Order: sequence, then C-alpha cells, then structure tokens
Amino acid sequence: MDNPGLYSLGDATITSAGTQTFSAVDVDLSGISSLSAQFRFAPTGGGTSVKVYLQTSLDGGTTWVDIACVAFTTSAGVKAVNLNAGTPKTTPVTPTDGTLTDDTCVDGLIGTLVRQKVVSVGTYTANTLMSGRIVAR
Amino acid sequence: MTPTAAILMLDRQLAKNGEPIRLVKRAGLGVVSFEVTCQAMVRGYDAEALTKDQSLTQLHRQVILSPTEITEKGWPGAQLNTPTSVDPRVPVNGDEVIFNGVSYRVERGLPIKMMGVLVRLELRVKG
Repeated sequence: MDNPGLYSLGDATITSAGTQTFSAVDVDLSGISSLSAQFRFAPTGGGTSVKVYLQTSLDGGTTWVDIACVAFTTSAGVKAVNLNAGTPKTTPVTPTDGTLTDDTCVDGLIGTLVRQKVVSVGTYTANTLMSGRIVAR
Repeated sequence: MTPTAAILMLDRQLAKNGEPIRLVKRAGLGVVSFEVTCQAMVRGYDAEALTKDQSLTQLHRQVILSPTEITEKGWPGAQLNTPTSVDPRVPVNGDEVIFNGVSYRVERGLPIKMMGVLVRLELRVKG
C-alpha cells in the first residue's frame, strides 16, 4: 500500500437525532490490504443511541457499502474492528448502506475509499462526540 | 511558475531551513485529537511588527508551512459532507502547534493560493 498509517474518519459532534455522513478519508488508499478501525463515543448526557457505519466504496464513491456497524447507547465507550481485504467472499454479498446489523462486520470488502456515517437517536447534551480513526495497511 | 513548482520550492526551503512541528486538531473539549508532523519555519515578530500591530505580543510566533504533509496525511481528517468554501486544511483558531516541546494556540491561519491552488500556509500562533 502506498500510504499506510493512521487516518481520521472524522469527529462527529452529536446533539439532536440525525445522520452525519462524512467525506471519505482524503488519502489514496489504493493497495490497502487491511484496516483496523476504532470508534470512541464520549457522551455528556441525554440521548438514546448512536450507530456508526464504517463504509467503503468499490466504484470510486458512487456506491457505499457497510463493512462494519458499531453501536453505543448512553455510556462512553471504545469499540474496534479489524478487516482484511484478502478474506475470500465467494458468495456474493448484497451491500447495505446504513442498515448493517449492530456490532457486526462484513469482512473482505475494502475499496479505495473509506468513510463513516453516524446515525443518532434522541438528543444528547452539548459536546457529545463520536470519533472514528483507522489504521490502514 | 506553476503551483506545483511553488510548493516544491517551499518544500525544499523548509527541508533545508525549517524545523519539525506538530499540528494538532482537537475535538470534543480536547478529548480527541488528530495530528500531523510538518516541516515549518517558525519565527518571532520583529519590533516594527510589534509596534504596528497592537494585537501582537512577544508571545506570538509566525509559522510558515507547506500544504504537502497536511495533504498527505489527510489532516484534519474527514469532514461532514456539507458543501463549504472553507478549505479544512487551513488551521483555524483553536488548533494547536507544538514545537520544541511547547504548545502554541493558532489564532489565525492564512492560506496563500496560486491559480486557486493552496501553495503555502502562514499561521499566527501564541504560546
């Protein structure tokens, strides 16, 4: 891979319910073989749930595919996943976009673009933060 | 001169005469951060500048950066997909510059463009 290293998926400030879709990591991830992603949730109060969808695109950004979903409720926490582009996927996968089951992953699909989509329910108090990071290899 | 040539020229100068700094973006009451190490020129303001601009003090520094390392790192990270004319690569008030073990707060960042391409960044920071 040309540009291995630590990259930020973005830091989402969460208040009222809604969906925050971030831009893709603005680095060429061509040749990526695996990635580890970490999601840190730091609520300050209130709210119901927050789900983060780690997504990738296999067509340059036209179609986005869920490859991980991590879920939080009202407590602070950190969750991490590791995904490998070399995992065989011999049975075709029907991609989802923002609907992958909580705390599950789809391994074996990593394109040249990676982003996060943050979906929150309920109203969190000010300065509630969801931060995503990846280490790309 | 093309923008690419201007950036390369600045990169050469900074590699030769600059020093490494860490440019840090913090979020959520400073709980999380994302940073990039850049080569930069750091200098204080001379007496004439301090006299002309009443807002400047001896604690201020001017930091000159190339966009190269910032772009390669993808600093400050992914942004919300909201159309904006503001280039997120330009440090803003509240960002942090760390050099020689000392932390300085960015007061303002000035992007220098050539033909619409970001070729240089000048920051005013205060320690």
